[in-house]
Amino acid sequence: MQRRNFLRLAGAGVLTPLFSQLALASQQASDTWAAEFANAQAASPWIAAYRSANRDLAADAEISGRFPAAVQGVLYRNGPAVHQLGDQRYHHWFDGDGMMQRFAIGDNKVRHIGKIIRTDKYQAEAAAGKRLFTAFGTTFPGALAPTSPDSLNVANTSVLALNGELLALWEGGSAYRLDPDTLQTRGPKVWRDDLAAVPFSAHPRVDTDGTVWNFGISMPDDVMVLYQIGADGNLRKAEALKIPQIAMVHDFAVTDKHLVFLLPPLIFDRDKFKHGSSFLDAHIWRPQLGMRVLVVDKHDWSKRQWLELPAGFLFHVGNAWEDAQGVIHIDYIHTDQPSILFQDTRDVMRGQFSRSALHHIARVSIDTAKGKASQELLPIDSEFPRIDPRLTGQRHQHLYHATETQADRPGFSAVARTNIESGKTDKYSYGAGQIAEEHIFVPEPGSAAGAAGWIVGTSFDLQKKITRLSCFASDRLADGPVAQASLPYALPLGLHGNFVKA
Amino acid sequence: MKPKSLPKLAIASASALLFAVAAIPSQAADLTITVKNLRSQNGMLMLALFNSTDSFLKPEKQFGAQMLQASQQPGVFVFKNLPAGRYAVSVFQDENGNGKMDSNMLGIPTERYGFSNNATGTMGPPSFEQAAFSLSDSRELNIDLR
Repeated sequence: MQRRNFLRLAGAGVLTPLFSQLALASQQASDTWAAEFANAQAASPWIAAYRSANRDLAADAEISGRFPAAVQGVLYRNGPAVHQLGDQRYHHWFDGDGMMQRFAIGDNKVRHIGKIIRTDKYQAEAAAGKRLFTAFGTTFPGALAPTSPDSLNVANTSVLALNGELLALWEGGSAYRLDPDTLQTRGPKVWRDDLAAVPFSAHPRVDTDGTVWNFGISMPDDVMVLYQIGADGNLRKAEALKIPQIAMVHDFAVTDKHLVFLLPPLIFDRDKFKHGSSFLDAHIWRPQLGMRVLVVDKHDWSKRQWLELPAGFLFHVGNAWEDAQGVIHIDYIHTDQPSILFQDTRDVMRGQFSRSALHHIARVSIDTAKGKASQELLPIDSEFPRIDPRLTGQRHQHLYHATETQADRPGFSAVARTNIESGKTDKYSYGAGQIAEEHIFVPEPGSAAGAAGWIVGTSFDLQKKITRLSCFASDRLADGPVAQASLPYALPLGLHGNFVKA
Repeated sequence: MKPKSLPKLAIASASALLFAVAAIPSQAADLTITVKNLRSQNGMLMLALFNSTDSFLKPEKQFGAQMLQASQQPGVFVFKNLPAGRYAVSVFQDENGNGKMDSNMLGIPTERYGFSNNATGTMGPPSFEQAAFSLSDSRELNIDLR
């Protein structure tokens, strides 16, 4: 009987689903990326930010200024780090195995540790001393067929602290559990048995009551999974929704009543995948689909409404809220098309710079009663938008974001606060020789939601080749940092973080 | 189970064994399969043997099957006195002991499995031909679970 069950499953074609396609996706003849990258280092100092970090790190930082009491705690940041193993350098910035950074701020001291996240994939490849699996954007000869999305899981995108547990987040598979103090990897998070290895995206939204909302998308299955998790870390509800022509969706937003998704027309082509494209390259741009807007009732996921915006691409959403008339307001970082994903974030891996698109703030109104959505663009360079977390799903005025691009290198060089109602921006520029990473709003304890607080974030000093953590007063960014912690080394350029109060 | 049914079972098994032995053709070979790369020491390794394309992965047509405790690693399966021919093996680790190979809500296996030749399929399990091997003299196979 036991064997029968297994064989029935196997016979039904459940084994080695679509992901086994990736085995075929390895027609790369010769690979010169590692050499190209090494050769580019002398000419372009920015290259240092994309070096591979293959070892864990730990050090005390050198402090200047005074960190306010409000930011006593831990800033966690995640990002791709192991860009190269053996001779194989990945071909996409998003491919690298994740490294979790932990900045412990207390008594005006900052202790840093950085640990490579020991995913199943990383452990297998590190033991072999070489890459075994294809990655999100890289194919190479002889790659093993992944047996599930977690075969590709590098846990490298973001981080969520939830009820004493630290989750390293990726987009296409399980969250990974880490020890919040030592960063030791504990293994994949299984919310429920039937959710093992099911995608759990990197931008969960935490409601003001502590409820965590998230989604996960399986491109080959045209499925979006929704998650509702209690503040206690226990799963309340999860369901798979069938969404025809599902799109690559990286982020979303919640209001009081709704989950709001913007679906850029970047959809999955099974045939391309079948014929050897990498997972990324199996995506095709279909601007004729427009940017689909999906509004889901928070408490009844069968109540769904579709609307449409002009075609465009995004990674990140700022926030969403609903006014008294029931109109949903949402802002996001807009580009005309997804070239950043296919070109810019790829070129850097062989030491080439391209900036193929402008990233501007888009303000969207979604009139669910009339079934109409519209948007306007604020021509302000931006990425990595964050808000006062106490305003999640509520009306917010300010976005905190990276800004100011340079003509000769990737990334941003300043951190800004933009009032999205007036369009007014206040910023601090680290200068052309530095790359500003994501900065996070930390509230002043006891203050009202939306009141001024603190901004903490990292920057990469291209001359000194070190990473700094800076803290600013959120309403006086131009005054410069109130405190800085300089590490004795550089961290690979990261993606997203979160702050946990001591 | 009542105690007095035990001897009956034993007799039944013994006669089945006798019958099996009597049925071996002249050229017979032993097949030893070593299964590695289990995820844990939990549960059982469940292995099935097939001898044709038509029967491959069909529960009612499997040629033979064995199971082993996953605490014994590597898992070594031995089929004695098999008739010469072409065979393919499938195996999985029933880690939680629920009697089936678990999959998630997307249908993706969440327990490790493998096939002879360490074959992997495209859009599903490998074919019999991908996993098949010839058996004329006794031989040993290795399967790494994935």
